[in-house]
This record gives sequence, C-alpha cells and structure tokens, in this order.
Amino acid sequence: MKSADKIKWIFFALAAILGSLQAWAFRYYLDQDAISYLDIADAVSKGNWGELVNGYWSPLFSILSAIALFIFQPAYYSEILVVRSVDFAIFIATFFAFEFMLKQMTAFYRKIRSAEINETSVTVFYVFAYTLFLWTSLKIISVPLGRPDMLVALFMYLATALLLKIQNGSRDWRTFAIFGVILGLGYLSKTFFFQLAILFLILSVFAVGNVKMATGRILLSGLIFLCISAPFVIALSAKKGYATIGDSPRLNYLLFIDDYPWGCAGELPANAKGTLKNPVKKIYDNPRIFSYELQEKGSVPFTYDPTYWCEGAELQFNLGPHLKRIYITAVAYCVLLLNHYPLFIAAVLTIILLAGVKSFLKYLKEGFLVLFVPLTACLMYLLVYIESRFVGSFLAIIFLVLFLKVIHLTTYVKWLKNITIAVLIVIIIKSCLFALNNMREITALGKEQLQITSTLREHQINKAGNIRSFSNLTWARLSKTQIVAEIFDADKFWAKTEESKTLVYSKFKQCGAEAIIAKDPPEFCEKTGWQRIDNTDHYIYFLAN
Amino acid sequence: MITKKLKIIFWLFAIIAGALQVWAFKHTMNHDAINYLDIADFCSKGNLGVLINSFLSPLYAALVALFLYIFRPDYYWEFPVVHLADFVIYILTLCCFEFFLRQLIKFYKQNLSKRPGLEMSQTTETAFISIGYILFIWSSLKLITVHIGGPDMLVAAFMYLITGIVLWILNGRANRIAYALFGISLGFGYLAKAIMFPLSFVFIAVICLSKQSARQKLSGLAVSMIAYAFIAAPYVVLLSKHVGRPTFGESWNHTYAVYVLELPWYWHGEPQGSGIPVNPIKKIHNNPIVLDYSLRPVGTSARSYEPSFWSEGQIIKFDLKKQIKRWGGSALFLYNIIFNHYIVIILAAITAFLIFKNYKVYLLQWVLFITPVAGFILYASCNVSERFFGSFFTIVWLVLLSPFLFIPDEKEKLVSKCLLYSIAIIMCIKITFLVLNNLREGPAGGAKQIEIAKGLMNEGVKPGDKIGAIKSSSNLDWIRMTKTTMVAELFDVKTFWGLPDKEKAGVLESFMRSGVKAVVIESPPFYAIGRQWKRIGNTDHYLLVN
Repeated sequence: MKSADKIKWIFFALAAILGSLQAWAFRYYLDQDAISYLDIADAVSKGNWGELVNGYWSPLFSILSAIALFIFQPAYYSEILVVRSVDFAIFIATFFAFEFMLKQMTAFYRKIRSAEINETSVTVFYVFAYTLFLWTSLKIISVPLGRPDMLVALFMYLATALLLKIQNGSRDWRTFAIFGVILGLGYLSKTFFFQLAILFLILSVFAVGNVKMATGRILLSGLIFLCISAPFVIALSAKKGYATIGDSPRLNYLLFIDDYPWGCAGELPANAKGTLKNPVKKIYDNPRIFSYELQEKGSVPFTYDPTYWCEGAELQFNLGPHLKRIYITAVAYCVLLLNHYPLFIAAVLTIILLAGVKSFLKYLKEGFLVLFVPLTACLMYLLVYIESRFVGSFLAIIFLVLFLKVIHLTTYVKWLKNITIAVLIVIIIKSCLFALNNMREITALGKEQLQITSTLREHQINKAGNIRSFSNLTWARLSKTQIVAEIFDADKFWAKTEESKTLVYSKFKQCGAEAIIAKDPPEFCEKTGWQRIDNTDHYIYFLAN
Repeated sequence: MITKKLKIIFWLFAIIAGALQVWAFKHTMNHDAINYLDIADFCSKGNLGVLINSFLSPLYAALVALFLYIFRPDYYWEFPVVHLADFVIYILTLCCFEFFLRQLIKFYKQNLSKRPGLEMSQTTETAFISIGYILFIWSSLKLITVHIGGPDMLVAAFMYLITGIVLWILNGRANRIAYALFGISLGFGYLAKAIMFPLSFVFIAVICLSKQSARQKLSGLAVSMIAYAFIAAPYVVLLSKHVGRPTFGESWNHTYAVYVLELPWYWHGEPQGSGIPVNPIKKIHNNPIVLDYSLRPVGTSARSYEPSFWSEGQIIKFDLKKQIKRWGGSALFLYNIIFNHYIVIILAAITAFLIFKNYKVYLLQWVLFITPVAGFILYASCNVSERFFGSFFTIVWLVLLSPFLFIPDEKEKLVSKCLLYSIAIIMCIKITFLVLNNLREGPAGGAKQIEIAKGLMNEGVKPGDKIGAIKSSSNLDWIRMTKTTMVAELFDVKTFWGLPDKEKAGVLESFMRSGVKAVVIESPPFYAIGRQWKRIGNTDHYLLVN
C-alpha cells in the first residue's frame, strides 16, 4: 500500500470513529434549523413533495432525509438517529470528495512543477490536509447538523476537484457533465451555491484555456446545471409570484442590514417599506402573543418557512448599516481564525516565511483559479453574516492551497514534517476531548428533550403554545406537537397577575393549544397550575384544566 | 544590535498594551482586590495594624496604601489610583522578567552550551527571546491581567525575580549579595502571597541540590535565611498572635474547606464533625438564606474582608475522594488554559520535542521546572484560577521551547526560526485583539458602577452606612465607591425571585430588621420588580431604603 493510501485509511478510520461518536451524542437533539428540515423531510416521505418548495430551506438535504425516513420508518425516539445516519453518510462522502480534491491538487502541481516535488513533501501535505479536514468537519461544520452545510462542503470539494481536473487537462465530456451535475446539486443543497456555480462555470473557461474547445463543454455543464436547478427555481418562483432562486439571502438582508426582527414578527424598523402579505398575527399586546394560524405547517410554523411571513417587505440599500455589518462580520472572521485556526495559520505562516513572500505570491498566482471561488464565497458572507459552519469548507480549501507550497520546499520538508505532526497531535487531542464532551453534554440535553416528549405524548398534546426563550424545541418535533402560538416577552408574562394570565391562557386556547410549555420559569409558577416536566427545567400548563 | 532593537519594541508593546488594559478597566475592580483596597485605605490613614489579616497578605495592600496616601483620591478617582499602582507593579514585573530572561540565556550559554550536542545557536536566539517577551505579555494580560488588582502580579514579579536569582547563583557568579537578595525576595514574595511560603522552600531546595561547593552553599544560604527571616518573621509572629496559634496564613485552610471539602462559605458547623464555629455568621432568614455579618461589620464586604474569621473553628480533614475530585477538576481547568490560551505554544513545544532528539536538554533544566510544577500542584490541590498561573506557564513554556536554541543543522534552524516568528506574529495579533476587546468592554462596566454609586449617594446613602444586597454576582465596586459596608446578603436569588410577593416582603423585612440603611437589588427579573423599589439611574440595580 502506498504511503498516501495508508494515510488516507488511517484518517478515514479516525474520522469515522470521531464522526460517529459525535453523531451518536446528538441522537436526541436537533437545532432549530434541523427541525424545519426534518419537518419537510417527514412531509416528503409521506408523498407530499410540494413541501420541498420552500423559500428558505433548500430541498436536497430534506430529500435525502425523506428517503432515509421512508426506508426505516422510525419510531419517534429514533427519528433523529435516522437523520444522524444521513448526516454521517454525507460526512463519509465528503471525506472521499476531499480526497479526490487533494489528488487533483497534487496532480496540478506535479504537472507544472514536477522537478521540484518529492514524495515526502506530498506525504506531509496529505497529513496536513487530512488534519485540516478532521478539524473542519468535526469542529467547524460539525457532523450531526441535520442541516445542509456538510452537503455544501461535499459539493464544494467535488466542484473544486473537477475544476482542477479540467485545469489538469481533462477534456472528457463526461467530466463536464458531472461538473454540471455537482453544481446543480450544490444549488439544491443551499441557495448560496447558485452564485458559486456560475463562478465555477466562468472559471472553467480559464481552466480549459481554449475558448473554442471550452464553449461546447461548458455549455453542456451549464445545461445540466440548469436542468437540475430550473425545476426548483420555477416551482419556487411560481409559489412566490416572482422570479427567485431562493429567498434566504433576501431574508438575511432584511434581518442583518435592514434591522427587521426575525420572521418580521414584532416592531418593524421605522423606515420599513412595503406591506407584509402574511404577517405573523399578533393576538395579544402585553405580553405579545403571536399566532401562526396563517401557515400552520411543521412543528414550529414560525420557522418552517420564515420567508413566508416577510413576503411584501422591501429591501432598502443604506450604506451605513452595510458598513457596520461588514465591520461586525470582519471581526467575527478574525475571532474565528484566531480561535479555531491558529495552528493552521502558524503552519502556513512558517511556509510563507521560509519560501519568501515574493516567491509565495508567485506561487499563489499559479493556484489562483482554485482560490477564487472560496475567497469570493468568504467575501460574500462578509457582506451580511457568517457562522463558522458556513465558511468551513471555503477556509479549508484556502488553507490547503496556501500550505500546498510545502511540496516545493523539498529541502526543508524533513523539518516541516515535524510541524505537521505537531499540528496533528494537538488537533487529535482537541477533537477527541471535543467528541467526549459532546457525548457527555449533548446526550444529557437530548435526554431532557426526550423526557418532555414523553410527557406530551402521554397527554396526547397535538397543539401547544410556547413561551419563547433560548430553549431548544426538539420536543415539538419528536412529539409531533405543533407550536401554534408563542409569547415573545416571557418576563412581561410572568409579571402579570393571575387574572391577566388567565386571559393570556384563553388566547392560547382560542388558537387550539392544549398546553403551554415554558423553560426556566420563576419558581412560584408551580403554585399557579404549572407542572414541572420530570426533572427537566421545562414546565407545562394544561389548558384543558 | 537586532536583539536590542527587538527588546525595545517588545518593552514598548508590553507597556502600551498594559496601559491600555488598565485604562479600559480604570473604574472597575475585582472583588478580591477590593478587600485589599479596604485594608490599604485603613492603612493609608495610619491604621497599620489592619495589615495583619489571616487571609489577605500585606504587601499589595501596603503598596496601594502608599499610592492612596500620596494621591488622596475621592470615590471617583480611587480605583484609577489603585490601577496606577497595578500598572507600576506590572512594569516592575516586566523588569523582573527581563532580569530572569537575561539570566536564563546566560544559564544556557554557560551551563548547557558547553555540553556536546548542545551548542547554542545565534540564529534562533532572537526568535526565542521574542517568544519569551510575547509569553510574558500574554500571560500577564490574559491570565493574570493588569487591571484585576490583587497580589497575583506581584507573585509573578517575585517568581521571575527569584528564579532569575537562582539562575544567577547557578551561573556561578553569585556573591553574598546575590544570596542576600535571594532571601529578601523570598521574604517579600511571602508578604505578597502566602503560597510563596511553601514555594520558598522549594527554591531553597533547588539551591541546596545544585552542583556548587557545600561550603559556598552553606554560607550563602545562611545569609539568605537571615534575610528571609528578617523580613518574614515579624509578620509570621504578628499573624500568629492575631490568630492565636502559629500560622503563616490561613487562606489555605479556608480555601481548602470551600473548594475541596465542599463546606459552604457561610459555614455554620454543618455537616457534623466539621467543627464548631467560633464567630458564626448569623442566618436571619432560612429559605432563601439571608446572612448577617453584623458581628464584625468591617470593610466593603464584611464577609470577605477576612473570611477566615468566619471559618474559625473549622476542622480541616484530608478527604482522599474529594481531593481526587478536586485534582480532576483542576486538571480539566489546566487543560482548558493550555489548549485555549497557549495552543500555538504547544505546537512549538511539540515541534521542538520532535525536532530535537537530545532529550537530556529538558533534564538539565530541572531547576527551572521544579518550582512552577510545585506551584501547579499546590494550587491544583486546592483552588485554581487563571490569574494564579501566569508566571508558572511562562517559565515552563520557555523551558519546553529551549531546544530551539540548540539545534545544530542550519536548515533546521531556519525552519525553527520561521516557526517561532510565525507564532510570535499570531500571539501579537491575539494580544492586540485582547486589548481592543478590553477597550470596547471595559469602560461601560465602569460607567455603570459609578452610576450606581452616585445614585445611592443621591438617595442619602452615606459612607459608613450598613447596607444589604440581593445579588448573585461577586461585584463589590459600587459598595466600595460609596464607602458603605455590606452586612447582610442574599445570594440564592433564584429562590428569592420564585417566591410569591408576600414571602418576598418577609425576606426584605428580615433585611430591614438587621439594621441596614438600604437594600440594593441586582438585576431583578422584569416580572419581579416591586413598586416600592427605586431604579438606580439607568442601571439594572434597584434600591429599597429602610
């Protein structure tokens, strides 16, 4: 077995063990986005394909989850485990996509600078690359997401690999056809990928290097990309009543730049333009209670399609908030890089100092095509909002290209190997402890959700109200309880007299709620009819009483 | 020449970063430091007897007292004056570190470099020194923090100074003056913090075990011990008299009882067998517990002015199970410090280990290792906090990175140099971010404390008044600013806010009965704010006047 293969399989085993541990830890726990994806998947698995057309959540992850749900038909308590299996399968696929990309990267530099490369330096690069993959997948993106970010990483690695393959001289029509498929699936994973797909297609012209030869092939890629993406674009545009590839960018703009409240629920900014077509209905003022009767879909209708509630709001361009936003995200980038990537930065900086800045810039020019898409993606996120999971795969590719210079530094490679091993040791220790910590903490949180679920199922609660806090709502999904209305000002509610609270309860009842759930209420609530759910910090108030 | 320029740059960087940090937090103070400030305040007014406190060591308070005596600040300027003292201590610590670093390099040149396979390299020396300064700045600003107040920066100063003197002695050029300075530093180190008392014996053991002639060691150590005793003994005698038994400080007992034996800090003689309280804290309400410290209403917080006063009578027994639990907790704590604050340094240390195959280099530096390790063990056995470990980490990391100085191969040297500079760049960026973050967060906290203090004074609260507080935080800033004393306290706020209004009124009544002028309520939940409570300015603090 070649050393590259040995390294691959060692890291594969490590990734599989740590990834499965992480997925197992999250077997009873979903985050807010994942609940909506699972709601959609559930609807699809029952044949309701129309639910895939959603302004905010892209369809591919839900389709994959729906297939798994259809095959396994899980009981309520193992539903999340099935989603975790999907997550894990995507993670494994991402590993191989990453490996494919690595091969294409090294092949690219072998092609243009074969004389300068030796096998040890390639091995050092592989160790660094897989370490980076482990860190990006386990810590930055995280395996048990129930969201499409790992899928985005998968398609990003594949698209980059294919771009490199084309740059390496592949003129095979099949490569271009697959390229189109990957770009299309990438878009179906996340709306953001649409712009990246167009960038990839443009860059592939440069990768071919001959416009005449490129035209037909790239048209094929583009056509396939359109064939895959168009049905969704058409269906979504028809549903929304205007041409759109997805409304999540629009909603994020409203939220982060125009300062709208989440889901456009509550007080809109003073300079808001347009009229909301389907506003969340406020059924009580003090405390604010919002009812979701206009779109009672999913476990949490408010987040099932957040764009629905904001239809009609008009975007406004103001330079001030834009600049402020860019500053906030730039700081977030710095924090992300300094807190999560210092080892990789140190390794890359060492290489830059060793190679000399001039020589390094020359080298970067050669790899510019590969760097262009991830850099653009990072810049696009800089304009509005970032979370580490959004940019994990982009940063991984950037770091890889920067570190790849190591294969030219053959005279120093013996010692650079030690730095790479040191990075690996630290990352393995951190990843193992991170996985163990997940096992301990998230498992406990998940079990709490299961306890709430059991109570709701025991009392056959189908519709519930919720007192909004930073609580997790996995219980709603697991118990198939729909949250039909929510109090947005918990403090104001608890400050009310019992008489006023009775009025609030009646509002919930009018919405069809059979119980109200609250997290961490004041202790006196137990004396006013609220019951603690087992030993959790959640309380329930039965409205039927 | 390059090294000299580099040193100037790092000195400037250290001074500016430290000054900015102090400036950012000029109006806030750590609760421990406020207890020292109370002592300093009494002391600056001529009451030197207050320096004899079984929990708080005297040196930091004495230094602060000097600044208070010179500047005589009002309530607004009091914290900035204390922080000026903190900054001066920080600069002194930097001087001590400079001395230590010079001695360390000399130690490497004179002792290690003469051995085969350990030739010192000029190429990596500059990079190593750079990392040294960076480690000092990072440990001082991130772990200890300049603005926090309290004696931990002083402890760091003495750790560097004493380790430097030990190296000076080991470098073979020490005379009696060095030994005298060694004893004096040990003495002042002990006066800075009681933990330096056991550590001073580790330092002495290091000198005893060194390869110097027995005669030289004996005469030198005799000088050291006289100097040490001259400084430490009067305090030990006075303290022992104050407590009523021989002691070098009671902080260890109290901390051990709370953090290892898990006795409540408001100890009342429970559980059975833990002793009988000599000066019990009065419990004026049971559920939630309201404590009354009017037995000894001294300082800003009567409870923490001398905690060992309240725990007098406790029986401290070694409990293996609880001790192991504590060690486990401390190990996790140290892991978090190492992997969160020093991750790039670990990278360098592991690389040094992998590159440099001559592992004897570590063993040859045992004299440097042993005291920080003893410090880690002592703290880990009782209570851990980031600020305790700044100087220990700096010294240990420098030892672990020292193989870079002895790398023989030229290419290897170049790679090592590039790695060390990369790490220095990253750490410099991290320090810059830390300070910028301090500048962003610090002033708002200070302004709030001043607003609370002003609000209280406007409501007629006067210096010397007794007050009660319902709060979960340990913050004492506004109490110190108003020069009042917190004699009654409710800390189980969750239970309190969960009570029906009638029961809450009962709790407040018990406060009033304890003779407080006012009760200050910190961050009550919106639903619980009573009509008779007055909001203090625009803050989240409320006031109820008796």
